[in-house]
Amino acid sequence: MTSAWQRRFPHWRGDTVTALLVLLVLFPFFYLIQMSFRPKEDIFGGGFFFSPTLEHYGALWRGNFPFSFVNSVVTASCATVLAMAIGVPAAYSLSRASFGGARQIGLWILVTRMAPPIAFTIPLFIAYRYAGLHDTRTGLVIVYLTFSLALVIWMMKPFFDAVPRQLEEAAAIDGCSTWKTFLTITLPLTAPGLAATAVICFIQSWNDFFFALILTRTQASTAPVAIVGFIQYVGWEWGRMAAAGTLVMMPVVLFSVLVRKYLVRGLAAGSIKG
Amino acid sequence: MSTVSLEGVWKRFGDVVAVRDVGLQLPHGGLTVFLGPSGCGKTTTLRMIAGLESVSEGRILIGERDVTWLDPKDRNIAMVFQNYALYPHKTVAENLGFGLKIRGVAAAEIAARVANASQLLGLADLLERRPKQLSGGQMQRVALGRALVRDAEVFLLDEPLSNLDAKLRVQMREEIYKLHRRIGKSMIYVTHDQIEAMTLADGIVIMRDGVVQQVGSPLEIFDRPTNVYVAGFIGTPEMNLLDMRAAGGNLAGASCIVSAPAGCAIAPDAPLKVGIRPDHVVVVPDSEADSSSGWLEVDVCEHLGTTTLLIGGFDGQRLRVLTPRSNARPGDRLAVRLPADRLHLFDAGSGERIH
Repeated sequence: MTSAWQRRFPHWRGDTVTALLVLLVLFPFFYLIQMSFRPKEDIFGGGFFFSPTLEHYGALWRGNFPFSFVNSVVTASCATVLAMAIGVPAAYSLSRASFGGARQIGLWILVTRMAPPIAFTIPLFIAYRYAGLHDTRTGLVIVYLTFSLALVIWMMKPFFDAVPRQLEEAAAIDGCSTWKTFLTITLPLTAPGLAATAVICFIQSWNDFFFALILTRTQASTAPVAIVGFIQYVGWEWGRMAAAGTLVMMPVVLFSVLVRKYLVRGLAAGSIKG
Repeated sequence: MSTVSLEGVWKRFGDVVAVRDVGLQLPHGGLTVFLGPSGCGKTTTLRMIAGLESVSEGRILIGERDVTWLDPKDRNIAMVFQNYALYPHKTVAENLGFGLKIRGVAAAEIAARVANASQLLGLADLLERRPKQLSGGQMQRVALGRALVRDAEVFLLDEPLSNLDAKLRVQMREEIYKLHRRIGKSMIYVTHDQIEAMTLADGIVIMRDGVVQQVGSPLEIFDRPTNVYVAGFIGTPEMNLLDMRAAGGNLAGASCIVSAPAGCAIAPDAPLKVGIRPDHVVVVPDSEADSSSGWLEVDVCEHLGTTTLLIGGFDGQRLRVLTPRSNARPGDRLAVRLPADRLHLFDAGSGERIH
C-alpha cells in the first residue's frame, strides 16, 4: 500500500531516526532556553507548561552582564578583524610562495595550534602583569590573535590554492598590479572561504573561557567568565545563568546558520575547463 | 612598428635550460606560430614575451621598446590562455571590459568596444552570462574577445584550441584566421599541432629542446626542412627518412641504387638520411621497373578516400607511399621510384640538411 503520504516521504524511517537524533543532540540547548524563561520559583519545575517571564533577562540587564557581553563582542570582533587582515595576505603569500622554506613556515604556523593553551598561561600571565596588559581588552585581543592567526592562515591557504594562477596571469596582462589582482580577482573568488573563516575565527574567540578567566579580573572579563560569576556562596543563580548562556549562544547559532551555505558551497567552479 | 624581437634570450629553471639563445625578429602584423612538441620551450618563450616569466639572459623588444623587465601590464599585450582563464565571478561583458576598466577607460567607451567585439565574435546574446554557463567554444570566443577589446599591440595565443573538440577546433581555426586578417595585429600563436601551424601561420618558428630549429613560411619549411627533425615534424603523413650512402653520384641503399639530386656535393661513401615525402614516391607499372626503381612490399593499406596510404618494406626499411586511390592489398609487391629532384639529403650524424 503506497499512500500519498509515503510517496511524499519515501525515506520516512531514516527521517524519523534523524529527527530523533537531532532532538537528542539539541535537547540541552532547548532545555537551557526554556529554563531562561521560567520563573525563579519554578526553575526546575517539572511542568511542561509555565508562564514565561523575562525576569532573568531583566536582572542581567541591570547587573554587570551587559558590560561583559560588550567586552566579548569587542575582543572577539577585534581579534577576528586583525586576524583576517594579517592572516589572509599571509595565507595568500604562503599559497603562492616560491621561496625556500615556505612549507616549513606553514608547518610551524600550524604547530602553534597544536600546543596546549595551558602551557602558555603562566608565562602569559607574568608577561601581561609586567606589560600592563592584564585585565585589558587589548591583552585579550592579542592572545586571541595568536590563536586565530594560525586558524586563518590554515583555513584560507587551500582556498587560495584552488584559485587558478592563470586567472591572476590574465589579470596581470589585463593591467592589474599584484595587489589589484589580489583584491579584484583572487579575493572575490575566495569569498565563501573568507566568510567561513571569519565566522569560525569569531566563534573561537567568542567561546574562549580559559584565557579570559586567567588574564582578566573585572575590567575586561568576558561573557563566559561572567556566567561563572553567577555561581556564588549564597546560591547558584540558575535563571540568570540560563539567560546569559542563551545570550552567549545566540551569535554562535546565528553565524553558524549564516555560514552554513558557504561552508558547503564549492569554489570557483567553471573558471577553468580541463 | 610593433615588431617583436628576441635577442639572445635564455631561460633557465635552476639547472634546466628551457630556452636556449633564441633570437627572432617577428614581422609587424604577421601571425607567427611557435611550433614544437610539449616541453620544447615554445610556451616559455611566449610567457617571457608576455612578462609572466622572467628572462634569464637576453633582451625582448616590442617595437623599439625594451620590455625585458617591464610588468605584463606595461607591455600592451593581450593574451589568450589555453584554459581561457575567464574570471568566473564576472559576466561575459565584465570579462570583456575588465582590462579597459582597470586602465581607466570611460564606461561609455568600454560599452561601445565590448559591443563591437561581441558583435564580431557572435557573443552579443551571451553578455550577461557567467563563464560557467558557456560552452567550450563560447568560452574560447570570450577569451579572444577579451584580447580583442584591449586594442593591444601584440596578441599572444597559448594553444588556444587544444581544449576544443576536433570539429570546433577547425571552425575556430578559421575564425582566428579571419580575425587576424581583419584586425591586422601581430599575433604569436603557440601550438604543437602542425596542421594549425601550416594553415594559420605567416611564419613558423619550429622549436625543440629550447632551441629554434627553423624559421620560415609554412611552405618554405615544408619544401626545405633544415634538418631531419623538422623534416619529420612537418607534413602528414610524415616524411620517409631512409638510411643510405653516397656512391659516386648516386645513393646506395642495401640493395638498390637511387640517383642523387643534381648538383649536390657529397663526400663519397658518406652515410646519409634520405628524405622523401610519401606523395612524392612514384609507383610505376611493373613493366617499367628498372634499375632506378625498387620494390615496396606492402604491409598496410590505409584507404583515405581520395588517396591511399601504403606502408611497407623498401630496401629493408620502412616506406610510406601516398598514391591516388589504389586497390593494392597487403602482400602486394609494387615497383616504386624515388625521383631525384624530390629527395632531401641530410647528414646522418648531425641531421643537418646537405642539399
